[in-house]
Amino acid sequence: MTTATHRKLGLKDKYGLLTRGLGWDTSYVPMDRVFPHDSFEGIKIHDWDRWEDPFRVTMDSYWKYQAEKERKLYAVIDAFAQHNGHLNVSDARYINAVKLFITGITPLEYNAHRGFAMVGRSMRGVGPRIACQMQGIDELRHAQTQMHSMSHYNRHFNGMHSWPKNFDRMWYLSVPKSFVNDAMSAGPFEFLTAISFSFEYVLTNLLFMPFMSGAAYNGDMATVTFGFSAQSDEARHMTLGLECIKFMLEQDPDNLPIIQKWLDKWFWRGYRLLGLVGVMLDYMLPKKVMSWREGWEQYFEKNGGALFDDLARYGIRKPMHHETTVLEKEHVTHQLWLMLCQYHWGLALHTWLPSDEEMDWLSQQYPNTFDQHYRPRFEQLRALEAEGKPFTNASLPCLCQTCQIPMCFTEPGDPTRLAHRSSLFQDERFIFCSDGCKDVFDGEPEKYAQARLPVQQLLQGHLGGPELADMIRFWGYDPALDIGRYEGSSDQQRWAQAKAPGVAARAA
Amino acid sequence: MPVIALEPGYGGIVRDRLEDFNGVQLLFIEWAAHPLIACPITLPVPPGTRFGELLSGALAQSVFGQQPDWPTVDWRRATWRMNDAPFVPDLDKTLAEQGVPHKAFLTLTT
Repeated sequence: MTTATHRKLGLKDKYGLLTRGLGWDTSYVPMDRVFPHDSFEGIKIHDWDRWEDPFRVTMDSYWKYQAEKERKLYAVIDAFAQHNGHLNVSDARYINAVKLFITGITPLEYNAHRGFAMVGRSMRGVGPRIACQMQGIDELRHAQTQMHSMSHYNRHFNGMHSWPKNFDRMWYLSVPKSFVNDAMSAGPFEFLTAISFSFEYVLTNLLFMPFMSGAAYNGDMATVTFGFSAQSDEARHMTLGLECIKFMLEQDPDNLPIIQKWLDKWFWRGYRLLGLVGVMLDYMLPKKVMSWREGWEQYFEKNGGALFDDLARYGIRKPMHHETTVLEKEHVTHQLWLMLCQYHWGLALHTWLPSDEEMDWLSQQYPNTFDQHYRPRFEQLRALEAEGKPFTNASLPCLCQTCQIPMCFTEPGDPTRLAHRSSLFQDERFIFCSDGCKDVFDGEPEKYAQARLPVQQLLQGHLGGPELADMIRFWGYDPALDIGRYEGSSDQQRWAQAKAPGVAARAA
Repeated sequence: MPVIALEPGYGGIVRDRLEDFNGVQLLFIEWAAHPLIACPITLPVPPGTRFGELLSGALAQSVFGQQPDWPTVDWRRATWRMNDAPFVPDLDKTLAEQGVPHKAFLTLTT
């Protein structure tokens, strides 16, 4: 009689059994009918087994690592709440960065979770299916930990209480919403190129580094901690993003032009979306970390440049219009903040004009543009505010059909002229902020012609109304508390009370 | 290049057609090189509006009209472009009569 011996499996065997070992080819129904979504985009895959997961993570070890991270994170979150951690941030203006994150970024994480779940289901290869499954769970975990970390701020500051509703309804949140809906309504390979590669690999450093360093500089330990907790996941996502691009490129030469077109599109869409992060860096953080210009130079021009040099052997070139982003790097954040400040009546982020010290920092960071083009405008706006007549633009903006940002950007190379482009499709005219956004539209006009632009929806009576307060309530905000300039806001008043002499002593 | 779609004939509805706006049309109007107004504005106006009425009415009531430099604009020297082509508006004709379509992009240079 023989007895079975149970030897411990090696990592490679375990990975094999727990990934490819879990898959099978269907026999009752053809594989093409079970996986109808992995071929219509034109991407040709000849051997799914060539997909290599560089981390070789299996589900059992995944749960173990993640559970460990969760335990540490929630210990910090508890301590943060018990010790009134919100009072340690640099200033209540900092909370705007948190508001931008919870209303604009956390919903992206949640939708990325949904997207990866769909893509995982769409792929007939077991390797990518497992990778998508884990990333899908990661994204859900990120959304949850962000909610839990930021919920403490929601008790003490305004504008964070209904963020899922805000994401669906608030006009400027249509910028991230349309971005992620665009990816989710694409095919699975485009979704991976959009989110795993273009966003996670090429651009994610410009999202996470500014928010997490900004949080650290400004005393927000809750955000720093979830940032750390997510960081090791992000490293895995970035590697998978690169693996996914290389896998597609190596499978068939016909894949190259399709992938290049997606890279061009998603680089530009991601870049426009990140403009909001740039504004956070340059204008919202009371204690500055780095400027948008520095971030773009470091993370795109330098690191991204090396990446695209590496991909050149596959025939991939740098994304279209990357030169424009370099021409614009000393302009975009100033143009966006000037625009946001004049639409303060419709923003659930508080706005304020930069102080003398802040303008000096901006001059230093933007030596070629700030003093010449933007300081005079801020000074004029400050003079108006000092007279008790803060500048307000009560006219609705013209929005770009693709990125949905008000058309506040100038011609590349000429900061005195606003840029606009247009296309005709089915006898309708569509307006764009840039060549990049026009190219995205012209690539798939059937898709973007359907956009629900918030300004147009408002004028059709679909956004609450007729009064401004009705519309603000429709967006999911309280007109008396959540909206408008920082000066005189309830956030500012509460902060002043909390920091008043005597209060800290009583609390101690 | 057409959209890559799972179903042949994929398409959808355009959500800002003229008929969606209950009798008004949209104009996108930019005041070129204005230092404070950050972007072009969207104005809903009836197609039967005379161009002169647009200036003295909707536009005067917009953020344009609230600027201190608005009353000093020399209208004889101001120039217009429509959809990136030179355009000389007739103040006495309506938008429809002089072919200013829905979602026209107008640029005013003063």
